[in-house]
Amino acid sequence: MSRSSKSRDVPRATRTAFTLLLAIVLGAVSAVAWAAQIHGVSQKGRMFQTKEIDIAHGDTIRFSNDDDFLHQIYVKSPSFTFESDEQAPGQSIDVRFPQGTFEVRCRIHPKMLLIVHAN
Amino acid sequence: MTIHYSVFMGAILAALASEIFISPAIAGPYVAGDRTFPATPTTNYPFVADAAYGSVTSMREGAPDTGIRQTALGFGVEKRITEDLGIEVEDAYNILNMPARKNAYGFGNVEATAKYQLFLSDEHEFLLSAGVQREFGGSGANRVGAEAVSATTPTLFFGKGLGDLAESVKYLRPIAITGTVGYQRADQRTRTIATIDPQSGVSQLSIEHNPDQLVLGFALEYSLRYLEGNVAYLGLPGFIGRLTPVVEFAYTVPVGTAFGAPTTGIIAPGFIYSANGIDLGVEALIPATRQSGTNVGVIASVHIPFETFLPAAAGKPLFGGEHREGRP
Repeated sequence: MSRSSKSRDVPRATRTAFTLLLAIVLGAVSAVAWAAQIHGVSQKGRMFQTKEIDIAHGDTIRFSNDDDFLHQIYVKSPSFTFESDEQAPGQSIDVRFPQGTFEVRCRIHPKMLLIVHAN
Repeated sequence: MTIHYSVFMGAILAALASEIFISPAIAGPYVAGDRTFPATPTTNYPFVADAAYGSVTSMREGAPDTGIRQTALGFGVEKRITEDLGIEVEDAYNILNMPARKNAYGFGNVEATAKYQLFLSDEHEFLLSAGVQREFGGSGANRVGAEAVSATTPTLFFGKGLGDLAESVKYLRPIAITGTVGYQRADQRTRTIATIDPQSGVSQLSIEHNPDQLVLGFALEYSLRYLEGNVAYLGLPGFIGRLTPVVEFAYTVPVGTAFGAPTTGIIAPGFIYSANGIDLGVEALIPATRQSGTNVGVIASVHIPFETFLPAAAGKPLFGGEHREGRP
C-alpha cells in the first residue's frame, strides 16, 4: 500500500508543477498578446495613406480599403512573405509582422508602397 | 533592300546609343503608370524582365487522317542586365506526328534577343523598346523544320494603355495594345542544297530562298483587374477579375524579292490569368491567310518572375539597381 501511495504522490507533484508552468506560459502569452498592438493603415485614392510606419515586431497592421476600387497587398522578403486575396471596398486585412523592414505593395496598383519597420 | 535594312539598323543603333530618349521616370518591368502589362502568349511584349517562361503549342496541317500534327514545347529565360537592358534566350522541343511515317522529334533553333527600354511615360501608360532578335540557324534539328540559315530581326516593341482616356469613355481605359514591328533578314537569301535521290541515286540541286520579311505582332487586351482597380469596382468573382481577354495578331510579310513566299498570319483570341505575379495564357490559333493553314491550333503559356521561386536578388537587374516606384 505504502508503495502505491508513494507512486500516487509523485504524479500529484508533477501535476502541480505542470499547472504552475502552464500558468506561467499562459501568463506570458497573454502579456505578449496584450502588448501587441493593432495599427491602422488606410488604402484610399489608390495609395497607402501612410508611406512609412514604425511598429513593434509582433504588432498587427490592419489594412482598410477605404477606396472605391479593388485592392490587394503583398510582402515578399526572405524572412516574411504575405499574399492577400483581392480586397473589396470596405474590407480590411490584418497582417502581423515579424522583426525587420518590409515593403508592402499592391499587385493591382504598382505604385502603391508602404515601408514597415518592425523593431 | 540592303539600303532599307541599313537605314533601319542605323536608326535602332542610334536610338540605343542616345540618352535623350530615355525617360527620367524609370519604372519596373511590366509597369507603365497604373498599367501592369501581362505577358502575352503569342507575341513578344515591350518590357524587359527577370523571368522564366514556357508554352505548349499544338497545330495540325492538312486533313485529320493524313495531316501532320506539330506540338512544340517552348521554354525560355529573360534577365535584366541593367534596369532597361534585358536579354532573352529561348528554344522549343518539337514533336511531329505524321501518319504513315515515323514521328520526328527535336529542338528548334535557339533564339536570343537583346532588348532595351527606350522610353516610358507613366502618365500615358506608354512603353517603347528596341531590340535585336537572332535565330541561330542549324542549332536545331532539320527533321523538325529548323532552318539551316541564321536570321537577324531588329525589332521595335511598344505598349500603350488607354488609362488616359476621358471620364466619358472610362470603360475603355482597361484596354491596352502591345506590338512588335521587326524586319527579318536571313544571313543567306539564297542557298543551294545538294541532295541524292534515294531511289535513283542521282544527285540533285535545289535552291532555297530566304526573303526578307516584316515580322509583325499586335495584342489587344482588356484588363478586368485594371477595370476593378482603377475604373469601377463591379464585384466580379476573384477568378474572373484576374482575367485579361486578349486577341493577338502575328504576321510575317515577305518584302522585296519574295521568291513567291506568301504572307502568313495567325489570329489568337484567348485569356490571360494573372495572379501573384504569374501570368497564365490560353489562346486559339486561327490561320489568318490561306497559306497559314486550315486548322485551328491552341497555345497555353506560363510566365513566372524569378522572384517567385528564387531569392529576391534574382528578380533584380545585374547592374545599377532599381529606381522604380513600384511593380506588380
